[in-house]
Amino acid sequence: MNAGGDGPSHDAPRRAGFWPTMRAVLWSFFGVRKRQAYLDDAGSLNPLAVVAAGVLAGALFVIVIAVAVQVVLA
Amino acid sequence: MAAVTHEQLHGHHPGPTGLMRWITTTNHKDIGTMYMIFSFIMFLSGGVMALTIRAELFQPGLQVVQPEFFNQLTTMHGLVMVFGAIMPAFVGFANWMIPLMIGASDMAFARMNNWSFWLLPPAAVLLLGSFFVPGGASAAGWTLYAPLSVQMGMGMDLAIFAIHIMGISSIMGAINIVVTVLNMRAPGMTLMKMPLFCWTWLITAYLLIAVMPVLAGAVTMILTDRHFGTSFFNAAGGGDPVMYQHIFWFFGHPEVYIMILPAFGIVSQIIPAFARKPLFGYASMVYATASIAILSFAVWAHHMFATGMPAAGQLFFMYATMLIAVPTGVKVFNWVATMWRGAMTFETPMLWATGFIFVFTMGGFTGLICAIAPIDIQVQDTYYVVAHFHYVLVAGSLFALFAGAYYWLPKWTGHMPSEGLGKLHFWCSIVFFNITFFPMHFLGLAGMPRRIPDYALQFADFNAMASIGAFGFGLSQLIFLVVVVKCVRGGERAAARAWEGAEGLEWTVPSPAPHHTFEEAPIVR
Ligand code: HEM
Ligand SMILES: [Cu+2]
Repeated sequence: MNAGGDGPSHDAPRRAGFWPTMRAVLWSFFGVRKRQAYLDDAGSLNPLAVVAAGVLAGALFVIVIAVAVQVVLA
Repeated sequence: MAAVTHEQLHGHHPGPTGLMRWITTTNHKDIGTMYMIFSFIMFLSGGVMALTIRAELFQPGLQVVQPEFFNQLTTMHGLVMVFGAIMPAFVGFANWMIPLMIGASDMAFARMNNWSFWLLPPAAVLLLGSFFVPGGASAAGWTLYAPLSVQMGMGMDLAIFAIHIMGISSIMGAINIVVTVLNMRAPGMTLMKMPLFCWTWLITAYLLIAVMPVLAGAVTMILTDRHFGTSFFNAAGGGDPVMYQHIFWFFGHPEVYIMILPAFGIVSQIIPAFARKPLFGYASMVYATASIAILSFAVWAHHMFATGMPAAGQLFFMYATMLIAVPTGVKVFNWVATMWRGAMTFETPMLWATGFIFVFTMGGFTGLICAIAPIDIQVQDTYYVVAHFHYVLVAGSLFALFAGAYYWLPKWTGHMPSEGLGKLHFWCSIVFFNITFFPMHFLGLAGMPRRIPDYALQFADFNAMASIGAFGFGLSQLIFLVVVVKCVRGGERAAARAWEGAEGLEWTVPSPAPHHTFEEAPIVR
């Protein structure tokens, strides 16, 4: 029943570090990703880390805009 | 899981027949069919309300209905279309297609699936029945703003209960989809290979799980304000009506993405099939969908620019809203790039999908215009906003649903839908749609408020035009009914791969798809 894993590297540990995860998420905010980069991501990123990075990047997005607003209003 | 095993063990025994078959079914195809029939009935009910509204607005003055009833109609039209027609229709597509697309034998929780569906008819009875209680249906607008919603008659309570029930149904449906997509994919069907429709639904399902409880909380607070002496939103008791708007739109903006992301998924299946090229930027599409989902939680107060927010708040929500349009624009770009130099043919599903791209994009642009706070303070609560959200919801969500229906009808019924009638349906719909809603931009810019039964004389001509278009649009939808009935009863036999360029596991099983598919999981390479 279980499909088991998401790719060739299913058995390899998913050990992408903080920055590759963050980079993938930030590219997603722009909505563009190269196919090769995506394949690398898919093989190496840890889904839970991606969710955490997504929440973090969301918070960052909010902070950046809030700061921009303060600058505009200053 | 237990339910699936049960279904597989007993699937070949002669089950209950007649009505009991449908009441007790745990089969994803039966349940998908019921969702779609239900949503079409609700679509026609909401459509009758819309046409009554347009009949009243055909001329200035009051001719057809009383103002009180008019407000009930606008409210119920919105609620019925959003919660009764569009959302269940997409869930129906998910039920039918996700197991077929990922090579699963059924949904993960087959019996819960049955319950998710069968909650809906009672909710619909509560909602539509509220017209007949003392005081009539809720007339607070589909957004159920306080203080109106705190003051309405018992029709409001029925609407609240209906929303609770439909919300439970949506949450269970969403859990089912998440678990199915994550756990039941055939060997080799990696997330990277998964059809985009499954991706967009996976992300939509997370959104549903996140925001339906927020809506449930909002309407429960209204309920306790109404009956149990609380004052969350009642200013007389120290409450804050604006807080209701914040809570509602924290649900409401992700909700609009709930109604459009599966549409993006359907269009992303159809365009490559008829352009005979793989989807351009598949990876980008997945990433953009995910980021739209995250960011959609940070823009809600663009619905509230006129409530007197501090300048910093207005700027924040204005910038955030404009930025979130970027990944949406990227998607449109990718569809166009997929078509670029493709070997394109325009069978009915492709016509609807390309029509979707054109008209939805116009809705996206008017959204951007509404997002500019100083402009929105002018157009807020005018027909401009009505035009915007009908461009994204009718020409977006609904057109994509039709595109998907024509695309998969061969798989559902085993017969090809009539090309002639399908094309007629498309051309009538897109022409009448624009006759109906394009003039509303002008009406809004000229200052005509929404949700009113009467208007000043200078708005008469565009309103007459919109009403004529609306009746044309409404009648055109009956063509679809004819197409579906004809398609169920007979017609040209559909091959397993009904469309020459169609890709995906769903096209490897015969048409119509047998009652049980993929009991042996296929191997995907
Ligand atoms: C480019 C993307 C979009 C932007 C920038 C955008 C922006 C906005 C803004 C600023 C408003 C508030 C207008 C006002 O009340 O004065 C609005 C209203 C609305 N939008 Fe959008 N929108 C976008 C896409 C969508 C989509 C995809 C949907 C649904 C499928 C949608 C559905 C709605 C609805 C239903 C309302 C009106 C709600 C009400 O007041 O009853 N929008 N939009
Ligand atoms: Cu919004």
